[in-house]
Amino acid sequence: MVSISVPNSSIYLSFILAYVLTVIPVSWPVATYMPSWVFITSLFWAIFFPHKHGVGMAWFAGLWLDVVMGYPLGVNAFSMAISIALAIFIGPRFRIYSVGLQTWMVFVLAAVCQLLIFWAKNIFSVPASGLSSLWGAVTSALVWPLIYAYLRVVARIFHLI
Amino acid sequence: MKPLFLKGPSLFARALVFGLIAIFAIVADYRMGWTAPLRSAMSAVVSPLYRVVDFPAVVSEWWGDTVVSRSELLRDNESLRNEVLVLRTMSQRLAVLEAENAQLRELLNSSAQVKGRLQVAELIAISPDPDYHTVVINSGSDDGVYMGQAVLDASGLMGQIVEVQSSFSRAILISDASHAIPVEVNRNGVRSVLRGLGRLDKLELLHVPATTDIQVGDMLVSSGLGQRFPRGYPVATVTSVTTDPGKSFASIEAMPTAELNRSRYVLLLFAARSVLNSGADDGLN
Repeated sequence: MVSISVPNSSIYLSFILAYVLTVIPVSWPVATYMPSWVFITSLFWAIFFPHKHGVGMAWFAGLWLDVVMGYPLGVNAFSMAISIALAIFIGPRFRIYSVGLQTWMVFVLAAVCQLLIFWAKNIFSVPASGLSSLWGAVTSALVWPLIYAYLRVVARIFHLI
Repeated sequence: MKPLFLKGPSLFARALVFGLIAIFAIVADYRMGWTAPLRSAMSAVVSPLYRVVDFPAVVSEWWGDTVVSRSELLRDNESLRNEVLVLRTMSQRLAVLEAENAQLRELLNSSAQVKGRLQVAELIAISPDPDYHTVVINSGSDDGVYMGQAVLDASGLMGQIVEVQSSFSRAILISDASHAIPVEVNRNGVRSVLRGLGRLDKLELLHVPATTDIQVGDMLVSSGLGQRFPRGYPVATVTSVTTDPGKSFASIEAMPTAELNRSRYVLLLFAARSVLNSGADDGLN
């Protein structure tokens, strides 16, 4: 799977879609439960195509997310770089897991990402309140089977897998 | 032939390097403010995103305006006419009051209240993070929006502009945990500072002595101190006053009068710039 080439445009398009989903206006109580779309997208590419989407790409994706979300520049870049490095490390094992186990693993990785954001916010910038952002990790994990199924269909169509 | 092992630094070395760069970036951005040009350049690139997201709302609004039944129009017309009548009657009283106010001010030898121009803007995005109460509106420096400008809705003060780009700008709401606004009680002029708590329905008055005359239901209006917000706009209503004999300050909570979570249209207040720039005498009026 690793040696198959993926057009860069498909990666960029998936990220643009993720940013659009991120900025859709929802009220704050709902916003707590929104999945981290950019993280999931980054995770998918990092696990299945690590030669295309590495730590540096994740860092840049996070930097753009900071601009979109109005965060201090670097908060998301920091958490994405480290959690995606972790994802690439466990990638070979992740790929042979069942979807159920993958979902659980996505929760763990998304929770790591949220905790890193929480730390970066608290230590270097605005104080963040509570750990309610972990709900985002839960929903991120819950949408994973859908995204996995969808992207597998796309990959079949383009003969990537 | 394809190499068996990928060359270059190890995964975690790369993660460490990028993590350190990110930490440097956070400090440079948040503490030092060195990265403003970079952020503004990147914001210009992402601004079409907001337009894409706003598109369905624009279409549905256009559709709603275009396709309206006759009876609906007639009903709207009637209710609007009634409303205009009521408002006109009220504004007649306002004219008299304003004239009287001006006379009294002349008697007191103080300068006239500065009137601001209002401009309607549309909310196009809200921060996806509940910890940051910011919204994005569709007016930017092209429309004359400036840093620190007051943002209102029909029922009260919402917040202030913290980031200005050419076609959009970002406003922080009074409910954000890092925001505070100087206010006074409308009834008796007691001054205090109203701080956001990161919750939409609750604000807190800071350092109010336990014996101060503040009651549940009191209206808090902006006091104009601090020379950021113009004076006299409603901000919040006091919802609870708790005095604990063991503490030196009363704990007072208030609810914002503006509909922070609902307003789609906001008003930008263009105060005369002299209020912000000239001495304290003008700012306090």
